[in-house]
Amino acid sequence: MGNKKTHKWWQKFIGQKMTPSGWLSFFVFGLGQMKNKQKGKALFFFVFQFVYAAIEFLTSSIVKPGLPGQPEYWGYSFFRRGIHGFISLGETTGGRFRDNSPVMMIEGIIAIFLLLILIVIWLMNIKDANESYLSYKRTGEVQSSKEFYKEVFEAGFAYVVSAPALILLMFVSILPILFSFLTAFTNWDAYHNPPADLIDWVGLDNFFQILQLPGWRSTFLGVASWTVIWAILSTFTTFFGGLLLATVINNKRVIFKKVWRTILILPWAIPSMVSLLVFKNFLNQTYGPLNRLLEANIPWLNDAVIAKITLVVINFWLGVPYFMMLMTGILTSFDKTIYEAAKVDGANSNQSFWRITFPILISQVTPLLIMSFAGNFNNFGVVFFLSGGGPRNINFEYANHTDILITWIYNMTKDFKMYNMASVMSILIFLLIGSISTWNFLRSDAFKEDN
Amino acid sequence: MKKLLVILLVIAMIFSMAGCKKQVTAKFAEDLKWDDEKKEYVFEKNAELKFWHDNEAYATKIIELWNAKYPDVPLTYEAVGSTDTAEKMKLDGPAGLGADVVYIPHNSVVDMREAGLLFQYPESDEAYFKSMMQDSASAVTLFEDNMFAVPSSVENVALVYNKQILAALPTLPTVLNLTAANLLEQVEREEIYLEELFAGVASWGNNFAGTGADIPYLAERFEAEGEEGTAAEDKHTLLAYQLYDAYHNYFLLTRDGYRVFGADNNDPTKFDITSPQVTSSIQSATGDWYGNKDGSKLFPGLATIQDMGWDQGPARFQKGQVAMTFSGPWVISDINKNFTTWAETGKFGITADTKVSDIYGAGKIPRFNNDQQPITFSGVQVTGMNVYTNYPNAAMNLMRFLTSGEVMNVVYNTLGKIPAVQDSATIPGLNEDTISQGFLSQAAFSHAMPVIQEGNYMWDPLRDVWTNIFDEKMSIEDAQAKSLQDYDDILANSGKAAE
Amino acid sequence: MRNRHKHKNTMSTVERIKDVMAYIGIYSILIILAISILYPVIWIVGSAFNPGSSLASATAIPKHPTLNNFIRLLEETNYKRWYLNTLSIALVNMTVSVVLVGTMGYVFARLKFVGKRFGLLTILILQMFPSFMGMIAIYVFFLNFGLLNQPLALVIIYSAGQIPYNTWLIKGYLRNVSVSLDEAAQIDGASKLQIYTKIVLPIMFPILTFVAITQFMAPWFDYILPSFLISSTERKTLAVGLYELINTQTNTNFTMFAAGAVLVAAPIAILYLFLQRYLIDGLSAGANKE
Repeated sequence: MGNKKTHKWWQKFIGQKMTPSGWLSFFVFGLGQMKNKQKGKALFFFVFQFVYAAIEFLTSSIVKPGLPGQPEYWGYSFFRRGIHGFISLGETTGGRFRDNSPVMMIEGIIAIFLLLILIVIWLMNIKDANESYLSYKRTGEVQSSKEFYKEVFEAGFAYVVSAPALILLMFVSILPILFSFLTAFTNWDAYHNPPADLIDWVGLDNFFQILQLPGWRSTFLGVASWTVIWAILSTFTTFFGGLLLATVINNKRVIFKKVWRTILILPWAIPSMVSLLVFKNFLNQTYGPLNRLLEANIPWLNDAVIAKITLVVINFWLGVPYFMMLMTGILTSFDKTIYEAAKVDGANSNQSFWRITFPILISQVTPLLIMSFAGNFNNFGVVFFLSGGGPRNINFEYANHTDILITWIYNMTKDFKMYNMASVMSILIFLLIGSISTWNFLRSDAFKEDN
Repeated sequence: MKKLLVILLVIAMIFSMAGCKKQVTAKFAEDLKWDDEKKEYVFEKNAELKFWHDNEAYATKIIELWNAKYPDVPLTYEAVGSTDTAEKMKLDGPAGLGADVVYIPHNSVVDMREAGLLFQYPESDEAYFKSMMQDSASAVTLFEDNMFAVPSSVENVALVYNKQILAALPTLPTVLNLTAANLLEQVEREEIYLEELFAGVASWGNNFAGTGADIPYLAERFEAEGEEGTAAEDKHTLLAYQLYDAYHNYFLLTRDGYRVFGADNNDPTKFDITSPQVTSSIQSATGDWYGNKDGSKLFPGLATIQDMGWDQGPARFQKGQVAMTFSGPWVISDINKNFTTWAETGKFGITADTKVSDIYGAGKIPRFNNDQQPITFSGVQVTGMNVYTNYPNAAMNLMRFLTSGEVMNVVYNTLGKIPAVQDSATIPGLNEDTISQGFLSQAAFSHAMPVIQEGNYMWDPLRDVWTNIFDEKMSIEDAQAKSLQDYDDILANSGKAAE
Repeated sequence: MRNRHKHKNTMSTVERIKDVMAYIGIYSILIILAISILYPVIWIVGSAFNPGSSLASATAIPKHPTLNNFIRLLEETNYKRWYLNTLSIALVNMTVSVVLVGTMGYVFARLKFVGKRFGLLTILILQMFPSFMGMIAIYVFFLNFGLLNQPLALVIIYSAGQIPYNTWLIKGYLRNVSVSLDEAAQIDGASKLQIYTKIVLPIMFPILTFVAITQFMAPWFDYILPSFLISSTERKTLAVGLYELINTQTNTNFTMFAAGAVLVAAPIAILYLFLQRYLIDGLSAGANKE
């Protein structure tokens, strides 16, 4: 704070300086606004503090006294108990009252999230009190609450309308991720079975353990490299396949365009689990109808290399309709005048496709491609239902030839309950996929032009 | 407007949270009140009960019987797969949403018991339930002499066969050298050793065509394939079962006395997969396979054993396309379902008078050539009581009800499973049911799957001792060593070492 | 069509040969792809008409086709109930998603504000975290908010989960449409809300149709989430109900399962057949507006 810059870091959060109104709002939400004679605004901010205080009060032991024999902190109120539980991960086992560590951890995260929202509102409330106070001092006028709302709605339109979606995302997306992430730092395994047992924070122990075991390292490298190949191949085959189909059907020579399109989206309309189970039977080397039809004995799913190819092909079958539909849509949105200009310049349709359409298309769909890459990276269904990870690879631990990282993690949790290790792997996977994706995103046009 | 909505949303979110307080109190034995006159627990006021099961017909029947007996206590059911129950209960139980009573396979007992989800019965009830149910079945529900669940039905793999096909097959050479006229008699009279059966089937290339016999209704058997029984292919299987699965092939390891996890099957230090007993058992089963790796003598016609998954073996057997399989009673329940349709269409020459047992049979797995009977795993379906139930007395009454004779009849008749009762004579029809008796005859030579945590780790190593031989072409000793190493790795990784 | 004929009259022989080759090329690609796509589809549909209950040794064109699986599905299970449950979840999810994603798409494509770039990027990248245990957290979250066993919980998950992807989709789409109309309206003093509802929304119509279709489909196929979050029998969704047909040892009704799936696929295919017009005509209309 001894920093001599004109803008101190905290001015961003609470306005130029603390004013009497600001101090009032510091303690009671909206009180500074009250002093500034902005009743509506005051009420707006006060509601938040009131609601939070009400929750804390209503869930506390004052309202709901504890039962005899119940641990003391069971009577704690929502936020206090949440944070206590998050730090301790539970204290009592057995008996009538016992702590469920994972649930306590999650409730703790929820409490912390809600408090973070409160802190943001609290800072906004202080900043607003300070600024209104200063502007009143300067101009002698008070902005009415109504004007304020109007101004906020217009200036902060982006924040206001995206707030509900962002709050939803916070709980539906970030919360589960954070929980999975934090599990990597606990001892939640087959010998710590909540709710009967408690789990504890163990710091970085699991990471050290993974580094020490050579079997894990070689499995990770093997599975990870196939996962990357798989994700790249499956993304590109479906993308270019979809593009090819979309352009072919868009060709003026094709009649009954709608019928073709509808036929070609059929695989997408069938629940993929059904398709995959049928394919699994269809491709059975010994009994499958396909080998019988071809009068061959091809190990579709029993040979390491062929099984991998089979997976990519089946994934193509499942995924191409979606891209065809998407590409059809995007292609028709293109401005026809570009083509006409190109035609005048003597470009044939081939040239105009590769020189004009394709570059625009690519720059437009790069984000979607990256997301689809990530989706395939974590494409559980195809591997799980079709090959089940097989054929066997005896050099891997808990994984086989076609297992991708996500199915490997699944095996660890499903059969062996290594929740902590699975989380460590999740983090490693995330570092891998996240850095590839971020790097690509940052280079994409879609992102660059957003300055 | 939007802003108002945002505020409303936030407030609504917050209030709904405040409004939802969790009223979960774990009830334990001290809550139980026994009524000595009525011989039942004292129902809580306004008690209502819920149970989880995966079969709608069974559940409906149970509710009907319950309502007749206790009209004041509503009973409902939710369809939950028995293998999903443990995972689901870990969340639903503490949340207060779990069913009061659940049906689980007994290996889930470990999981749920370790997670503290199963009610531990008071001694009086333990004695009562033990008196009702088979000792071997009750054993799986015990841990350190406390009882955590009650057996409902038992199942184990046995030799299941198609009589029509076997009757058409010639006898196989056997050192017993007895007087059977065909393979069916040979098998039913137990006049053949398992090794001889394997070798014989292999000599036919494991297909009907190789036997040179006329199989009745052969064309019909392959109708669905779109083939008119050309019989030239090796897909007309004599013996097919899930070799790629330790539950189904465990018995092959038991020839020379190997039992997983020691004599009581629950000693985690005695995995012992490298023991010489295992070596000689595998040696005996594989026969001369090592001299002829290209055409597997033991499982001819299978490029890899992974092809014979759970979706192939039993399914093809049910369609009459496989002569013999090693499977459990469930393989018959689907046949029962289809049998009336077959009778209507006259398939396989079946008429309205034909019984399932005229076509299909079950019996002991043929003994090994050292006169030892193969030992199979037995599985027990159990009922367990949720420790988080709000009505422990009512739930205990339901538990007792579910072990009563009338419910055991439903288990047998509706579910097609073999009730775990002490005396099979108490179930009408069970003693006359030759198929069920066939399974029961093997049940005498079975032991329960381990009920220790390590029991979950044994499956892959037990299975892969075979995979490593057939797919990786390892020697028997190498395959055994590899399995042991896999098991030790799992132990180390699962956190056992850190204890 | 008319244009093509006019064109043809002035073609040289070389061009004509080229044209014929193009026809052959295009139709051979189409026919080969259509066959390779349709053949398995026929298999799947055919297995629904097979007698017996297992997929093994089912055939594409059964010799004795039977409606038995469909009849059993309707009579022995609560199929109709599941169907209605799922349909209502699908419709609500579709509506909620379109509203949420539409605004988010507009905000992130057209407005400039602090934190925009890294906000969406962060959420998007975070979503790539393979969170297997995430289900437990979602369960506890809904438990705390009293939404467990409520269809609303599913709507929240489906609509919120797809926000990042769909926002980028719409953002990409709006890049093709020039901002001149927005700017003109802004000069005329229109508020952002007005610009959104009056100008951008109509342009986005086709891509929102696309979002609507994909979001409509989500609940039909997902069985993992609902089996965790919805426990009561009467609120069960179709995918869960169908999955139970094959999931247990006593229930291995694969053909019934396939029949149920065919009944799901049919309306989706028909929906697509009819909505195509909005997707494609609408898209070109949007582009022409510039």
